[in-house]
Amino acid sequence: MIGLYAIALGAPPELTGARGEPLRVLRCGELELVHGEVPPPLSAEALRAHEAAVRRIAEGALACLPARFGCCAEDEAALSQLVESRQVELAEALRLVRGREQMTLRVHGARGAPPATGGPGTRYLEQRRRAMTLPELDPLRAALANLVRVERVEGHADVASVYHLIDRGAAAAYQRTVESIRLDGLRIAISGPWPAWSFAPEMEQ
Amino acid sequence: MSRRKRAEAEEIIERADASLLEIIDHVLNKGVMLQGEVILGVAGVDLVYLRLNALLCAADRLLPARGRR
Amino acid sequence: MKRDVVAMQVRELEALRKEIERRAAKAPRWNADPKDVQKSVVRLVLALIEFLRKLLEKQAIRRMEAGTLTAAEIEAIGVALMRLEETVHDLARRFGLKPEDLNLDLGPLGRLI
Repeated sequence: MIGLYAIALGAPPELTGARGEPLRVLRCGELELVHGEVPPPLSAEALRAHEAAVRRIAEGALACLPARFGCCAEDEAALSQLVESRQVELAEALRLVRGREQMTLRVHGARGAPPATGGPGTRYLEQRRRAMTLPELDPLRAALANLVRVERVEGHADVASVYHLIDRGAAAAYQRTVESIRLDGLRIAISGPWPAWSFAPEMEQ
Repeated sequence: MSRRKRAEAEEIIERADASLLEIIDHVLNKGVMLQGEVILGVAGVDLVYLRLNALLCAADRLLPARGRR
Repeated sequence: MKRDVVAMQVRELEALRKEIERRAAKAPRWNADPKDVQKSVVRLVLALIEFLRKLLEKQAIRRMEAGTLTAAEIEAIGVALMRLEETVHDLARRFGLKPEDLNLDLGPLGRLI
């Protein structure tokens, strides 16, 4: 059994994994499948170690698609099969994240005024649309227009998450911009820069 | 998912601070498969967000109200 | 654009198929209490309907944003989705299922729906 860490382009040599093990690269077309030992059982330390290992890959590579904790395969042949049918999709994703990193916003309080106009069906759909797109953040988006290359939004319970891909090195400018914008009733926590965790296709088994 | 594994996952989340929660959310996904066993199901991810939410609220109460966004 | 939509639908269907296979492998079989079997079948059926409902909802919203639906169509689709959601959740409650029981683990889709 082997554990997948990332799919990369131009991964640096001599990387170590979460257990300090040397990482190997399996080439599949232009894709570099960076792998090592299976992760230890779930624990805070195991998660931190995985994150740190992926970060090391991302920092040295041209492009890096992180693999989630726990993504395993029987052996290199099985790993290769996992990506074979998805080479086009993965190559596209690598192009998307090339030279970029991710900033994450946690947005609290974005319940949004329920839409006032229209029949019940229209208001229902409009409410769903707002939850998916968070139009309350538009002033922030406008301010970040020069920095954000791609955006993904996820809503959960009371906290919405916004994932932004920015050019590598733009994190400080991004943070300054976010902190300079006031949005009524919203509390926003910034984290990053991260490897592009939220822009990597899931490697399910 | 086995009850024991969910309990383990929930315990990690309950005790986590903001930075670990951030790591959990980025590094894990719903229904991660580890050698055939689901580690965190949907409920686990919801717990992350409840906890994040609580942290955001708590920070609000603890920090003095300065020019808040 | 149309190609993207088709490719996406193919991926969504494939994710759905894999999830069904996974669940089928874990479903109670021999000597199972008929009530357990019934409950897990109901759960799977409702989860599938919920999946399709969310998919239709996403598509409706996209078309709404693209301006390719009339006001009357938006209203009609919205009402239909709303009522379908109520029905699914009512049925689920009757079988002692919680909303999270209806969430299929769809890998990449899990993050989008």
